[in-house]
Amino acid sequence: MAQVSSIADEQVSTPLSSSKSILLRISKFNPQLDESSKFLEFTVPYEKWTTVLEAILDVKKHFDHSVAVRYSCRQATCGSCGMMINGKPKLACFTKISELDSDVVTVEPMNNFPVIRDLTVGFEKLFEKHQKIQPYLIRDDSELESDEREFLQSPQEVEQYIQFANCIKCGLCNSACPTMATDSSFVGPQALAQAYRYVADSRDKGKDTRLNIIDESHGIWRCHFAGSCSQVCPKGVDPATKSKEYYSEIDKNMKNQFPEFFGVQSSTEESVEYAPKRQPANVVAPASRNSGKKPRSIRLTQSQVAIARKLGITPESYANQLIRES
Amino acid sequence: MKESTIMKIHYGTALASVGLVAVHILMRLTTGFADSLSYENVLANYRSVPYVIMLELILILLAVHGFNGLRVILLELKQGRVYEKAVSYGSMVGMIVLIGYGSRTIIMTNMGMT
Repeated sequence: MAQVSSIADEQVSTPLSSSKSILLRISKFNPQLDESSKFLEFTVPYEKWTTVLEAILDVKKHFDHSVAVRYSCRQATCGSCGMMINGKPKLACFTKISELDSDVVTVEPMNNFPVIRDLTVGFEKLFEKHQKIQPYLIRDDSELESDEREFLQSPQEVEQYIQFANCIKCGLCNSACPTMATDSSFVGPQALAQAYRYVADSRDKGKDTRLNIIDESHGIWRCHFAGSCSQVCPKGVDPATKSKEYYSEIDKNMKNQFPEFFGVQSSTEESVEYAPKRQPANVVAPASRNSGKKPRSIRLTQSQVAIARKLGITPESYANQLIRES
Repeated sequence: MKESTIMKIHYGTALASVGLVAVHILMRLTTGFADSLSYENVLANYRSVPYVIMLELILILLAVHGFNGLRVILLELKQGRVYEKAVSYGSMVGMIVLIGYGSRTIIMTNMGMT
């Protein structure tokens, strides 16, 4: 049964000067005690800047301290507070109530994850799949020369993967994935994006190993290109884009393995020819811009395009802004 | 077999089926649609060796594509080691049985055993 409460008489962290309020519906479910989830309803005042997480914490502080919610950084960095907000997977700390444009805000635990309690879900499977794709640089240590302390990369090489290194393991992509809704063994967009992050890294030598890991019956081939993972990612990682890259990589691998079947020459020698100018990683960002006193154009990296998209402006406007700032 | 190989066969059989089924349908237009489906005409088709080869190819392509598609759908529907093995082997057996039965029909009709 729904419980309707008012926050008016309570002392709250959100200033009570606000004339606006919303009805916050929080899903309550304890798998050990309850058979099904129920919604508790609270009237919560909010300001323009109030986030959903702050509203939940207000409820937790003043009405129902038993509401289970996982959070930590409150700045979309730790990836702890992912939940369904009005039916869409979002980070509660990164979603302002004013942005939702609704008088009713419904919060539920993320889909495709086992519920621990209320809004808290278990991340074991996500981490298990993340671990499965070997999320670290694989290379032979014997390649390190005595005076070499770091593996240098060109700005172009960094651009290949840097967008995918932004993943905070919040699980929103897995929650939005329609394949994961039915196929619990599917490796999932998070792990696939992370596999690509290392496959695309010029320092890594584990490409074949990773492609073999994801080339199984619940691997990359079960992706239906719905693209919802990319839509919900708070960091602009865009996992769906790279499914196509995987297919071409696997295709290239097959051509290398069976050149006579595809009528092509093995391309193992091609990689030796590519030797872009390498620089220490700390000069990567400035190096990607045109040199000159008054730069008129710059080339945006994939992550900068993602930032522009997140800000709701065109890449051109974002580039102009960067030029003005420089 | 690797999943990438299986899926390449899946896409290849789909493309080839579209081409061959298109030829198969266009063949209906050679003598008028209704006439082309008359009993004698159908038997005549089965006695033409090139046409029989095409029918056999369509049968194999569609059986491989269809049963692999069914396997994929069933794997996405439910998971489990025993279930997945049963689905994979079941699809393989279904595919072989269908190709066998279809080939039997094609060969018997070709040889006039109607």
